[in-house]
Amino acid sequence: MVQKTDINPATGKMYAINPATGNWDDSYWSTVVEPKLKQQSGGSGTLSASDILGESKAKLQEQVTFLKDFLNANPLGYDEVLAREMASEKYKPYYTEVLSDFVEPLQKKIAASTEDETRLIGELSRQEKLGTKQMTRETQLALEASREGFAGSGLFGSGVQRQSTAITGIKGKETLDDFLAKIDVNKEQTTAEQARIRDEAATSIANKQRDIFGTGRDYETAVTSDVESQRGTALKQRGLRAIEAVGSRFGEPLSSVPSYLELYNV
Amino acid sequence: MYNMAQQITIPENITAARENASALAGVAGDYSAKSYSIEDELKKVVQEALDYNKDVIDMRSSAMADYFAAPAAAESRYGTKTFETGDQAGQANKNYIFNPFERNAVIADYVKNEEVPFLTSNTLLGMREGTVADTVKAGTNAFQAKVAAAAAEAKAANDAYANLLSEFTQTEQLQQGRESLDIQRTNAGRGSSVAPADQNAQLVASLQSVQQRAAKIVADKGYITQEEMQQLWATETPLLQNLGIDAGTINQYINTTLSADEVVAQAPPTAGQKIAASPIGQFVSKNPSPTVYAGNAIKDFIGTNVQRGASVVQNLLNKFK
Repeated sequence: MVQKTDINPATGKMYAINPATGNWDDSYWSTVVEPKLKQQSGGSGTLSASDILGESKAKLQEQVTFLKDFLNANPLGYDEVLAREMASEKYKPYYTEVLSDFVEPLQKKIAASTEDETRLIGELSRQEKLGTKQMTRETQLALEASREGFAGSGLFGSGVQRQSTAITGIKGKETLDDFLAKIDVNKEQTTAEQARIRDEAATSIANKQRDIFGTGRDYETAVTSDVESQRGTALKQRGLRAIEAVGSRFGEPLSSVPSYLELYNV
Repeated sequence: MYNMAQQITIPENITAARENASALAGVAGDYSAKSYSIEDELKKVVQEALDYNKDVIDMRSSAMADYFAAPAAAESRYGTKTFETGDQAGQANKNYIFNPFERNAVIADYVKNEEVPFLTSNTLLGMREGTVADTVKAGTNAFQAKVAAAAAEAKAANDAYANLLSEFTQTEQLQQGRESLDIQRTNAGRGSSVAPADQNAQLVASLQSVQQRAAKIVADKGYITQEEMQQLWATETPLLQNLGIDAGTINQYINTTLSADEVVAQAPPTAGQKIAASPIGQFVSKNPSPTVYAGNAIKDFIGTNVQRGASVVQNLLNKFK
């Protein structure tokens, strides 16, 4: 670069002779000579932001790809079907036992009631048979005694004797009917009472089964709640891993777990 | 005869130094001007490098939408006993919860869980912004260091140019003085008389030579001794004698001019003590640098004695007439 330079006395600034015109030229200095001199002096003064950042820029860009790759490689570790199976296995024994503890005494009560009914009805049947025999026999004896009495008094076959015998027979039959009616009532009462006992127990069992294993009841609620809890844990674990991975690589490792990512956040 | 109007050619090394100083001043100026906008430029480039955090912001937006929709979604998920529409229409909902209190508790869990991706995205975004701030700060600091380095380099180049120019100027002045002396000597040898004005100019040049050399010594050491000052005057003795000033007058003149304690000193701190006690102590207190002080003192001294010298010469010339 051949040119002549000096300080322009009019401006106090540098100027140079423009080889094209042969004249002193302010702009030739500023547009041609000075930029070349600046380069020769080791810098243009127009260092770009990208130049300043240098490798930092590549590291910044790496943050984007790193997070994307990390999230792809670490999907949400949660499968609802699997979570439900796990929760079912977890809660089923408990609720089965709770139900069993409740049902077993009631089932025994039902069985006992059936036995009681059979036994009481049997007893009443026995009393019925026995009572019927006794009363029939007593009536028969009373009729025979009446006939013998009238025969001894020579009234056998008389109208009085027939009337008396008829009355004795009727009384005997009424007593027997009354007895049998009472037996029937007892039988019915026994049957009804035991049936009621069994019915109540059966209802309790049914209600309990419904409360525990019915749709949307205790067992399913526990399972569903557990499934949601597993989902929350998976979301927190994924978030925690992402933050830790990014922090360790591009900033600082986590010194403490953020409260919203605590796995047992009560 | 020496022609004062003769064109002086600046040596190439000085021209090169001037160009270099100018170029580096331009570089420093560019850096300085850019230092005001570099932070914004860095932020922009950093954000571009991160694609303006689009990935995290998208993730955050999606998570936020899910979070906003969470209460209604949870109510439907846990409050529907049998599906009425969709693929599972007519089927029982396995997620149905009969107990409204427990259902509300699970709904709350669901909504809280939906908040996790949103908060995670927020944290990741915050970490990104932290990185941006750190990177911009580091970049800005690096650029400021460049600015300072360029300014220092420009100043050094300018000082080098100034020194070269000063040296050249002094050498040139000395040369001019000697050439003038040669002319005077030649004229004297021819028996021609020297005009009083020329004599006066020569005396002034001689005194300025003493001034410059004394200033150089002061600049180098910070002080000048009486002996050194006498040596400087001694070099000018031939000129003074050539002008017709006898040795006695010269010695008297030298002794007179050197009698001021405030001008010369043996060595610091004696110089400082003398200076402090001298009539120009006020001046010293305002100019604590010995170089500056001594330089100014020499300048004052010479300025005064140039006039005195001129009057001495004039008196001598008058005497010879």
